[in-house]
Amino acid sequence: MSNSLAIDISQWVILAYFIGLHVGYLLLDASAVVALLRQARDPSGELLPQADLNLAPPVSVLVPAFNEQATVVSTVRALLGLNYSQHEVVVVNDGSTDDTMARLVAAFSLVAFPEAYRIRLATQPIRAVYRSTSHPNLRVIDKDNGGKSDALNAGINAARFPLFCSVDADSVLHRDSLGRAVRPFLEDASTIAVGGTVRLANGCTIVDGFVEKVGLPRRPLALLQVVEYLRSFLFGRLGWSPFNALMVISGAFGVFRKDVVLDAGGYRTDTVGEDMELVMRLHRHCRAGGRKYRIVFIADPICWTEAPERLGSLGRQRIRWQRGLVESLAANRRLVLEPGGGPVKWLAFPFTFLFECVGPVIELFGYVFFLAGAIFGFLSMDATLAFLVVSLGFGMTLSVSALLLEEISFHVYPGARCLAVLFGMAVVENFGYRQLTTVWRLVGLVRWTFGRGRGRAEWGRMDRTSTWQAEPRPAVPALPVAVTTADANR
Amino acid sequence: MADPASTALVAAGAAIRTAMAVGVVSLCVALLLLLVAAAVRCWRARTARRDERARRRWLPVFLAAVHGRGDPPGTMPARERTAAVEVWNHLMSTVSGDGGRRLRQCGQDLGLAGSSRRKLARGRSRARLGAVVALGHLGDRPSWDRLVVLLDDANSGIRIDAARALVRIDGTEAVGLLLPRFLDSERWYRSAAVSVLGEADPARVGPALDAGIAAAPPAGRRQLARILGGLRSPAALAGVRRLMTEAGDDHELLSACLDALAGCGEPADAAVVRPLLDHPAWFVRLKAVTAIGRLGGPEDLGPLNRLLSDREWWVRYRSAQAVSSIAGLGADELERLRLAHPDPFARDAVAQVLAESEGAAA
Repeated sequence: MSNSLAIDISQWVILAYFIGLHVGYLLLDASAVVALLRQARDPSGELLPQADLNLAPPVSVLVPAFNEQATVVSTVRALLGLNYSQHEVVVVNDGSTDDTMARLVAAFSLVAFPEAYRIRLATQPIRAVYRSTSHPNLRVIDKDNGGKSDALNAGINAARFPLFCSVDADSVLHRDSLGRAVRPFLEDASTIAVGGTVRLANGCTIVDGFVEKVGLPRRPLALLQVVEYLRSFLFGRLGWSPFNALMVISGAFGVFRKDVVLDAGGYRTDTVGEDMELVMRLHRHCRAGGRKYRIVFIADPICWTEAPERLGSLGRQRIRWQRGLVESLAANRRLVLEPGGGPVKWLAFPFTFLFECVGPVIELFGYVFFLAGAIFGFLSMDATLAFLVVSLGFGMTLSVSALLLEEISFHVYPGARCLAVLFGMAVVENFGYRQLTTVWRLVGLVRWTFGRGRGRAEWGRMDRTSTWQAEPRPAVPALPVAVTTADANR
Repeated sequence: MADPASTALVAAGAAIRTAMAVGVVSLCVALLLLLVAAAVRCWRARTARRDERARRRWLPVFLAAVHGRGDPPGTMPARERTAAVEVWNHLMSTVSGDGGRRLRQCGQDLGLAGSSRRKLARGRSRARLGAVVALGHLGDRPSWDRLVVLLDDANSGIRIDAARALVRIDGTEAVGLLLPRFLDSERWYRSAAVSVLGEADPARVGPALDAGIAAAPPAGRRQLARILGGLRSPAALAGVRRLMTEAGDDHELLSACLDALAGCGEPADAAVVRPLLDHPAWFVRLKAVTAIGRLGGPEDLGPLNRLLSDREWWVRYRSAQAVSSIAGLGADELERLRLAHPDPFARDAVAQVLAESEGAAA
């Protein structure tokens, strides 16, 4: 009797979870459709004259780099070539142990420079500030290793402009990425942060650091991630934006108002999910201060990044992401306790907690439960089959609706073959890939729960192929350390 | 009476059947969505091919018109109009003088005014936007009222292009209509307002700006000052001076006016700026230093030298830049000034400007 009750309860819990999850995603999908149609009706972004761009606020592009010798030079070169009226590039070398610094020095004729700027966020010691003699808008901060957040904080300290854009050292942007991302700041003065859609660079042809031709990757693991990214960005994030309840702006590309981030205390250095944690803290900070604010997501594909093509790298990445998510939610749990409501408190936070944080536990339990039920006979084969069909049906509907959103909006992937391949992946991902990512997410959750690696910021490592990069340049010796003064106590 | 166990089995069976049905329906929905995506792709490809054909056909015609060659253009099929109007608009915005007049005449001969008016009334967004721009280039007075209505459109692109079209049709009247709207910074962001006003004849904008300033509420004056600052035009100077005298304790207005003066002021304006070098608000001091750097003279070196020790980094940095620019100091003189300064923070600021100028020279 008690076994039967336990089975009944388990069935209903799993069923309720899956219904909640998919209904939630379908609603986000609907919200994303409305947002995209609104964008489609507003083609002004494409048609604004150059004069408008010339009056856009200047932006400091911050590039934290740790052992990025393979990509850093071409990334910086591309960032210097962005089509934007006024921007500076600040590379922060976070104590790299490879040739990152030497390659930067050689490629951009860097010289040590007596930069005097105000240190408003505490960071690991700065070794030297370098300025390029060939590119006046390029500076490089060389500092002791302190993690990505620490490097970003050092970049914020050195940034001269009211907006800063954080970019990963392996990110590939469009020439007009900054212009598109800054537009919400022009349109609405209460905008404090803007994120954009990140796509996968695997399979694309990249020339001089910019995407020349979009293509699909060859390896199945990367192909599966293409569909996953479409789903995640096109409605997982765009869907929250109209409610001003966006919970994360990807670390690969995000534009922020510097003064608000400084007021909120900059990036936290004790988390691996610094991008998500900052966005949640900005919500809290602005709500606590009674400030009118907007955190915006634009659907434009403005950033391309390399996805892991090996299981080991992908697993490490997903475990890290899950840890970052849990750390961010834990650090900002007061968001649901503090006064003041709004969708971020009542919808986004609980949704993220239930379906993305503890979701893997229920999902994995569901898979194991139905499989075991079928094998050991405490569930009928029909029930197991029904669960699989529902799970497959909802999963495919969500993935294909993401493909449709992509088709009606940006139409990035050319040719009928691309559509067919992506549809194939939307089917295939349900047989193993989704379950595997659920396992990795669970591992991330368990590791956080038992404190493994908690409170330690670190750089995510990935085996990069970076096939678009130029031949590695020979290493050159670094220049002597410069003396940097700061007025932290002033 | 039914057996409870068999009732439970029936209920479970019904639930499983329902779940299976939901699953099958969702699979069908997924397939349907895929078909829609494929259809969208086909439709998009067809539209792209049609537009490309239109562009290939009409670009040579328009270029011939610009150069005063070629036969009369004939008639334009409705299906080619949207793409052809975009090409025509693009050329109109890049060609001026006689070529521009001939191209405008070509547009009129093709009946673009009439078709654009129709698109304005009931076209799709892309065609509507093209029509708004085209009517502006054509200086089409009959569409004035419809364009005015579009100034309050929900679509920011339509609003901006309608404003631009009105300025092209009648600059003076348009500026009078636009200024009160531009004060609403929620709907009209500064750069859009500046770019629209920048297209108007400066001689005509000046009086309209004066009238707009007189009628603007305090919050609107700040926005107006920012717009005037963005214009960087002598036409805005009288308005800026007036706002400056009326700013009082409004720090934001003062800073916006100083920003504008730095862009379009004359050396005589330095007298109004100097007292603000000691303003309690740091951002006003910052803007004042920047303005003095552009408008001031050697007599300002004393106050600027003092501001090298300001508690705000930006004020110190801009002061160092101002010292360097208005005195025309060479590297050696700047270095002497740096070494002579008692404040290490001032020395840092000068060192940075010095290194920057050396870097620029290199």
